[in-house]
Amino acid sequence: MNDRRQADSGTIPKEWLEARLRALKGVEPPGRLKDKLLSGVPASGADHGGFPPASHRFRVLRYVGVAAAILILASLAVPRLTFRSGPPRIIADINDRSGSSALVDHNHPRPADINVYDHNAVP
Amino acid sequence: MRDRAERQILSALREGRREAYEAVVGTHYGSVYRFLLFLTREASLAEDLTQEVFTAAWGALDRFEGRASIKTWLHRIAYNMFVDAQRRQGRHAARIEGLGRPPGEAVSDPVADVVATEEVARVRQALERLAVEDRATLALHYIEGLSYREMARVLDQPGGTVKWLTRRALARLRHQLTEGSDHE
Repeated sequence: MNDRRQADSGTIPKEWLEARLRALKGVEPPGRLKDKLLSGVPASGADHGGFPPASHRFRVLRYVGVAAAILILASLAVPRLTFRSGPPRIIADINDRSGSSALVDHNHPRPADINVYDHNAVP
Repeated sequence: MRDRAERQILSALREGRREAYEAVVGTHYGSVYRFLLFLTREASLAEDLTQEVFTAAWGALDRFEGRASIKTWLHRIAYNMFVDAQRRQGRHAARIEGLGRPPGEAVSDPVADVVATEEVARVRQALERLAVEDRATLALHYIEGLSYREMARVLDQPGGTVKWLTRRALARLRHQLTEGSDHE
């Protein structure tokens, strides 16, 4: 009651006030809250206890992703490079001096062609 | 990082061990709930926000470096959650200041069960009349027992400022009590 009188008279001691504030620590959360929180524990914690932590899994996934991307790019790039550097295609060369030409271009503008194979040339 | 036990718990959390999650929930959910209860002044909202705090904490576990204690970390998330919720409520402009319950709404009162003495009840009522930042500092320091340094991390304020804010909040609480008794 003495404390009460002190409080009412405006001279509330700091210790009195602090002690009453600390008493509010006794407020307990509802019992169902803990159950709700435990049911919200992530699956990695509940069902896959032996699994590596999420950060490790993400790191592994990232490496796998980068490796897959490199493989895909390589598989696209290598054939193109191979075609460019590989053996040339066999094509009919009208100017081939071997005489084994298979195709004749009658409309070719080059005089050499006209002389050799152009049937429409003016004699 | 505070001590070895906490380091072990954090390591177990990162390994995804359920018992570590249970330990963290069991140790800290009461404190987080109480802090949110004194901030929001509404039991159901405090309960919802507590769930959001732990969900956010599990999601942010990879980013928690362990420089602060788990308790401080959770209270910081709780405070940020409250500020976000307050902002959302402010946009809707449907509630009174500080996410307090709308006038006339009947709500369960977990504090009333505990407040056994008239003196504590008076302090609690005076506390609820204070502004949000005053309630936050008093709840963190006197009710939850955080140091000024830990409070500085939670409230994202310099340590000296937090100390001054706490003193001012205590003075305001004292003023509320004397003013309240004048009106009685």
